[in-house]
Amino acid sequence: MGRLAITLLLSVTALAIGPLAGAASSFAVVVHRSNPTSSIRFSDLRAFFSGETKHWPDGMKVVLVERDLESDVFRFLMQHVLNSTAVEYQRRLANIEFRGETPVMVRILNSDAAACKFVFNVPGAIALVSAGSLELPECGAVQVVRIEGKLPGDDKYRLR
Amino acid sequence: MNRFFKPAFITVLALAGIYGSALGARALKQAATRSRDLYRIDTVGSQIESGLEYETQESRRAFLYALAVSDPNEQLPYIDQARAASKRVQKGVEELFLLQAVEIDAEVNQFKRSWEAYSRVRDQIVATVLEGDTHAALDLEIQRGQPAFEVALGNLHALKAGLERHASRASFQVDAILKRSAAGLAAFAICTLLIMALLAKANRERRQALGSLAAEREMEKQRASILEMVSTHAPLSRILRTIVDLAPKRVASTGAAIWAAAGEDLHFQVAASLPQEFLDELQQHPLPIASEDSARLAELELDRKASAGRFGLRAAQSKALHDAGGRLIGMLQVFALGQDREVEQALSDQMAQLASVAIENTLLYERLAFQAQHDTLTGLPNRLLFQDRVQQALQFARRHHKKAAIVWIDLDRYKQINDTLGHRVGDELLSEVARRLKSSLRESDTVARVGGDEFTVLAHDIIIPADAETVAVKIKAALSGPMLLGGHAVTVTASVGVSIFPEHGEDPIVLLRNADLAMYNAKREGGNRHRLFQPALGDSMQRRLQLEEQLGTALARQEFSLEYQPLLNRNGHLDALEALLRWNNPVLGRVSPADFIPISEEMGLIISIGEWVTETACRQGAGWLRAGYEVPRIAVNVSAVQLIEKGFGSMVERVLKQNRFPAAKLELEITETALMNNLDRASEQIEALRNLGVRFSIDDFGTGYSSLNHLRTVPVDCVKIDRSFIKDLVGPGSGGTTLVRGIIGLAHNLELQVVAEGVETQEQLTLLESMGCDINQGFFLHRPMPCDAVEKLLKPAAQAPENLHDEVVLTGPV
Repeated sequence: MGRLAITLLLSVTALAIGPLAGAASSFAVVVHRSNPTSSIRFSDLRAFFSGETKHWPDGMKVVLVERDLESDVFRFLMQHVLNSTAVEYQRRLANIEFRGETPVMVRILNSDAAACKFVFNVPGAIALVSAGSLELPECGAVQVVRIEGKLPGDDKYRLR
Repeated sequence: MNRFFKPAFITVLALAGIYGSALGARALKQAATRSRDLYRIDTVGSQIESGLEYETQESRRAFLYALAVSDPNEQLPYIDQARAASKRVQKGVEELFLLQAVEIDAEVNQFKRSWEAYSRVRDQIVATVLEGDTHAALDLEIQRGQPAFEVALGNLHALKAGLERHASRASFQVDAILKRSAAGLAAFAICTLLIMALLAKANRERRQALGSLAAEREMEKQRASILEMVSTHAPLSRILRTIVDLAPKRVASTGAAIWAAAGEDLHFQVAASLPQEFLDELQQHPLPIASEDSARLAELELDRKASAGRFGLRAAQSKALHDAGGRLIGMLQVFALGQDREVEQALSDQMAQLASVAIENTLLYERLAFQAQHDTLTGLPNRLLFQDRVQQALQFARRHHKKAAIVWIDLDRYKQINDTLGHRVGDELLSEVARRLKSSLRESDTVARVGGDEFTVLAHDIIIPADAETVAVKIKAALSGPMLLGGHAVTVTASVGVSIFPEHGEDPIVLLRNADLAMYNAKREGGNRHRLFQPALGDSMQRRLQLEEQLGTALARQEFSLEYQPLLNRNGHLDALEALLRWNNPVLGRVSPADFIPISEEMGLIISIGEWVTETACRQGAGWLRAGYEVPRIAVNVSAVQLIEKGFGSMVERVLKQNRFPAAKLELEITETALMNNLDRASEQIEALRNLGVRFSIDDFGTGYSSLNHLRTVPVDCVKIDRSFIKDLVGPGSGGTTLVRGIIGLAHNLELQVVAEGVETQEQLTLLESMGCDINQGFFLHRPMPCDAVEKLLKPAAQAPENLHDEVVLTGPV
């Protein structure tokens, strides 16, 4: 009887904590409210953050919001989106410039709130932020982009 | 009659009195309404308008700060402030509308529209500056932001004028109505007492309203004129003087003093209303604002209170002035004789606010002016300021028949240090170099940073060229000691070039270019040396510099193209096509690969150029395959630098895959020297690519190490005998023939194919065939040709082209 109670208690706790844990480790892609691109494929996301895509479909310049190397967002970007290391990534960006092509603009910001604020101010900006940060007032005025048609919290959302 | 007329007269009088009082009451009512109106629109309107004026300046100020800093993390809070103030401006405009003052609606509307227009431009500039394009943002600010702001400010001033106009008109109307009612009351004495009492009351209220209105209006006028002085960048001391003079103007028995730290100067202003002795004492003991020593500041403040007491004054208010970042930028003290603390408080608040804005604005403009002429990392003058200084120095030298020297310093291996130890160490290095350069030279010499790792020095008072050399030697000595940067001991050397006025040029641009050329000469000779400009070297180096400059962007401008030279086998059939790189530049014309390939190797551009060649050749080959031609091998030249580049193998593999070009149809030509430079690494790359099916040949065989022994160990498929040997084939018994026969024999023994390069005569071809050479290439057979000419040589494939698409692209060794 005692064992059954403990098992039940553990199951209930797991059910309660599960979604929170899931939310904490998932990420969202945000763009300016006026940006007509509301849904992209995972491969497009890679192309944006690897610096290959330099313009939005409407011709606007892409401005990449990057976070400091130590942040969870940057680590997630390297490990799960670009499958790269920070050094390789920076070299790749530098290589684009070295080849004489116009490099994609990269701005480094030190928090999710600052990233959202930046995106709010710059029409061509794109940023990856922690999905939990979407609750912040600063992130209320930006557009969350669907990845493969899904939003954070949806089933089979890829950025987690 | 008396009995009849008196009541009638009284009745008439009473009626007249009633009529008069009715008239008087009506007129009074009108006056009261108009006065209320006057109070409401003019006082409240003026208050809102002055708030608007402050908030527009506040929004503008925060926005300019955002422009002045470069880190987006710092820019964002300023942008927030600018937006918040802008919102308050919009709120103020709505409040003005709520007053329902139709007389000023047009002005309010006009200001509203111009402020919205400015806000839109501002948001556009904000986006540009956040994107990091400060130059574009500044251009936009100068072309559109500043003019739009000025239009809005102009409209605000028009609104203010409208309010003032309205006030004076309304006041005039009130006067007229009151006069009318007074006349009525004088004529109809029956209502005099009542009406006079009412009139006296109304009059008192009106006077009071008008009195405080006048004081407020005067204060507002002063405020506006101070803000205007700030926006037109009047000298700080003049603005502060106007601010301290506000105190005695508002309250006769007060005086004020302001201390402000702007740049390296301490500004001190004091109201003339204070006693002269006290004024002298303040002057002799200024507050140490710049030191930010708060304890000392507090102590001095106490002293000041005590000394104010000696002069019968009270140190009424003392306010520290801070900038948006919380830094202490000044101090305001108000001294008073009277006890009107409420007014003193309001007065000192207003003065402190105005003084903060003025000082902060001055600091901002000083900073912007400094930034425009200096390098932010090292604080040294930038190229612009340096050229200006050179210009002045040359004028001086010309007048006094003196010489001047321009020294151009370029750090050797800076890029390497930056790449291996990181940008932070690279930046520290530049700062340290700047420091050492400054401390090693005379105070009168100018040191500037003109590019990434490039510095220049302007040395005056040069008498003979040897003096300039002394400067160069001093510079090298200053840089020679190791530097401790981020935990690394780093040693740098520099290449130094010197040009002297007037021998090497008469204007700054020429002298700078010649010093740069001399530096370039020093660098070419191996760096860590100094060279004086030599006019004779100018032209050749000019050409080389031009080549470098054009080469840097040639790929992006699509100036490269490929030609193909056919290689024929013994039966005269097409065996392979060698892809040859051609560069046609609009400035330099057609440039020989012998000229630009070595430079592109030095510049590291060969990696991307080589990739372009491989990519283009494979794409062309694949195109021919799809078009249904039988395509021979395509040979691509690979440089030594490419061969040891880590990603070379994967690049080739990717290109083959992307273009669906069979690996067995690609041949890579490498020179002996390239191979021997890094034999192990090269062999590894070759081995890996051969496993995919790619063929390798040794180009220009016989001109490099010619180590026949290496031919056994290096994994190649073919050797190409250099044209210089083929040129010597002049007859069956000549020495050249023996040598070529030997090479062919040896190669065949090692099961390698042999290609003869540079076949130019029938005799050479016959001899080569008799010696068993497998493949021939040269002008006698075919010149290099563009791809449409190649197509005419290709035969249709036996196999259907569709099947080729499904062919396994990467095949094993052949």
